[in-house]
Amino acid sequence: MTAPASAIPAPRPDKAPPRRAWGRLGWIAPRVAAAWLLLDLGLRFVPLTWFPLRDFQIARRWFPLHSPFTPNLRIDSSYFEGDEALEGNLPPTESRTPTRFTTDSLGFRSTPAVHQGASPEVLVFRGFSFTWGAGLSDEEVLPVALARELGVNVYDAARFHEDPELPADVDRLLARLGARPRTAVYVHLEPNGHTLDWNRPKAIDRMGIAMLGESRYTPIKQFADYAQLVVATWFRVSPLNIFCVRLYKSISNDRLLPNVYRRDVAEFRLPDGRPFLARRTDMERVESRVPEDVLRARAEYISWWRDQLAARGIQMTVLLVPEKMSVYGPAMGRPVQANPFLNRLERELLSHGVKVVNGLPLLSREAPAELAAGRLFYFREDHHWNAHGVARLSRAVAEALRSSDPALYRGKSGESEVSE
Amino acid sequence: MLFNSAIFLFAFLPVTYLVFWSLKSKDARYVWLAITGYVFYGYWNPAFCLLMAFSTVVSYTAGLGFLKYGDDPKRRKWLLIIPVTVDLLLLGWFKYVNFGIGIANSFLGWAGAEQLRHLNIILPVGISFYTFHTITYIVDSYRRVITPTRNIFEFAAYVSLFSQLVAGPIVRFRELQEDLDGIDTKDRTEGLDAAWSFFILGMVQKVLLADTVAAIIDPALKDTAALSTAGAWLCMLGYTYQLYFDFAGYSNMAVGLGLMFGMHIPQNFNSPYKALNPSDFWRRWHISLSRCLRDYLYIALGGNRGGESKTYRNLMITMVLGGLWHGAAWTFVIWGAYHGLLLALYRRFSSYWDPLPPLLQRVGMFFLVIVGWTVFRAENMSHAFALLGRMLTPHTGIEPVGAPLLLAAVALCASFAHFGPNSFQMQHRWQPAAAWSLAALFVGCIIRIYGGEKSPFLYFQF
Repeated sequence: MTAPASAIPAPRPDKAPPRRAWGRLGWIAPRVAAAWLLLDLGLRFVPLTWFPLRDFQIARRWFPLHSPFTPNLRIDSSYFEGDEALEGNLPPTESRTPTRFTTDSLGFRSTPAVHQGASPEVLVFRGFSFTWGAGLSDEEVLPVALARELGVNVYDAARFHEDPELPADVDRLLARLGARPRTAVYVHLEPNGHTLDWNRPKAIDRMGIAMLGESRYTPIKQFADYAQLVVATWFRVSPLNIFCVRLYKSISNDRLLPNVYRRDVAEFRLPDGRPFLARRTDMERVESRVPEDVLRARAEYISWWRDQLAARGIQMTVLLVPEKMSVYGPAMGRPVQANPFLNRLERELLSHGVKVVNGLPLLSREAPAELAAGRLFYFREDHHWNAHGVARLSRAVAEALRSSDPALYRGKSGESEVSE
Repeated sequence: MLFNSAIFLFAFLPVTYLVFWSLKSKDARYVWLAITGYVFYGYWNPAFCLLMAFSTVVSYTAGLGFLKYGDDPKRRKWLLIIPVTVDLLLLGWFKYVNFGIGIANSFLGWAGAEQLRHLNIILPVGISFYTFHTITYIVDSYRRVITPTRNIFEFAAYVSLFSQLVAGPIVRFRELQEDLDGIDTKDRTEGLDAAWSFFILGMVQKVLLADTVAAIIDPALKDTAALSTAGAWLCMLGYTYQLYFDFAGYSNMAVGLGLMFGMHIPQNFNSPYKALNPSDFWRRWHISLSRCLRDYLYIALGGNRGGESKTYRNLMITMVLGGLWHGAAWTFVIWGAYHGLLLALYRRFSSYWDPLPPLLQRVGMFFLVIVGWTVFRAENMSHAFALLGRMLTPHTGIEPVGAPLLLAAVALCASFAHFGPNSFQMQHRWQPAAAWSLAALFVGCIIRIYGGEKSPFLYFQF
């Protein structure tokens, strides 16, 4: 009944174990593992510019408290691979001219001073990678395009999507900038799901505040969150890991191994035959209806920001940025919603008295003609907008701001898309 | 946490190992092993640590009861029934409730009655394994096969021992008791070469062989109807070796990890694809489960003591429940019944089978095993029939993407599985060149772990 406790065979008497330690697996294997770990850790201290990485990934490697990027950085890069091409492990077919990614002394994306010496009069915030311009050169990002349109300087206050952001952060930024802008543009991306709960203190925060008082607890909490974010970001970016992933993806090429990554990306063809990629999760989101309570929660959050900024003497306009497939879904033969989410959100925001520029009807209306002319508002193989898309929406935003405060903005007039 | 993950290899294992060997006392080592077991388990979902703790306390308390009421058969019976029932209820709730609701809904649908709603239950990883650990402990205590431990730390260390916690082998307390009792007298360097040898061989089996095969056959099996007959066979041959190298790989890694901490975890696979007949196969495949089913179910049902018909009945019940242990799905039930039938047929007709040439027996048995794995792998019975249909009748269609590599991998796996020694037949005393070659393969595994997608062991789901 009883099974033997061990079935490990005894060593053969005629084959004595090698005498030298370096010849024994029990000596070699842990050292090999340790060497790998040291290599992984060591490579993390090598400049990321040595590796094929996007400029913003390099700029995000390290960032000080309250900043999205490393301050005073300038990266000239000719590397571009669309997110969808990378995600789907598909050969990139889209390229672009070299870009420059500069950050200012506060660690925000630096917008070239369109109007020398003048303090920023407009603040563009939120919108994350769209606002600080993933894949775009300094002179192409929304705040710069807007500055050209309006004839005033515009500050790019966009942070990383995982960074915390409260009105107090805006206060701090403005104090450091020494600026008193009268206007802010809140960029709301279609998939952004932030609600008031995002910033609501959790049970542990309430306990901390009760024990230490808000003035003591808040900076501690901010620093703890920041430290966690810095460490997590540092751990995520491993050159050795990137090398291994690329190596494995290179053999998942539908010849040696099936390219399973393809399942995450939908491939379409443009009229001129070029590939057009979209993430399947984005498509599913665009094609599914957002419930009313979610819609209301998002509108409440944006309205709350409007009120917070109004209390600081800043007027806020919201720019609603549609997802790539909300604009191009019909052209790619995908189903569209009769009453799309951004249009519903626009109505909800208007009922709260928020000024809105809705990019969806504008881009959707113009997309077919632009497509026929071979132009897109977004990158073909990436879900971010391109310089053309930025320029188009910045005109709409500029017109909206001009119409709300004609005395302030000197730029040329364009067409109006503002709803009030 | 997975053995084949960076967090395990570069954080959990070194810390666990270094602290364990720096501790000197028995209790400190038990406590440390228990803590690390809970960390290992809780990394997946901390809430389910409570479940494991509950199961541990119930079984430990029952063990104390057996010590206290050694001469009271009535109380001993209750000490057996209550904790085993508690364990089975836990297993039943988490694993089989929705399956039961599905069956009930079939009947309700016939009767035109309102359907029951499925419950939102998450199956805790490894519950089938640690529940069996505790049940075998209780039953062995009842049968006086073991003397229950009074040391809660020792028992907690046994139940939560990370090397065999979530995917076996199902190690009975009696199989580890000697090592646990002498945990403070172990020599760190003893068996270290063999430990790493088992661990790396297991990792190579899992990461380089099983995962490579899986990367090709998983996408292909999603569209069974498109496969040619040759493609379907190639996929199922691939799955046959994937399952073996995945699970045997895990078991070897568990053995290696056990040795690093002075624990001798028993053999779980003994070259099962060299089996000559169904009975031989079950002596070689998932040995720890087969033994449990034999000792705690088949023999408890009467075994072969009640005549031929009762023996067949007991075989079928044991194997159907064994199939169901793997998962709450009809495919597993049918797979279990299929093997029950094979065992019964072999028992009845062994006098015709055994005189056949061994090679013919091996090939025949291997074919029968593949047919069984087809049902086991299928998402449902219609998928199983579709797959068997593609295999057993000529069809034109496509080959899996990556077929040449799959063919090479299958050939390599076949040579190891059918002609090579298994890890327990090896000496694990490598010459330097072989040791460095294994280390190079270890690096290959790490590159694959870093570069590929997460790949849980197949038996995690059971």
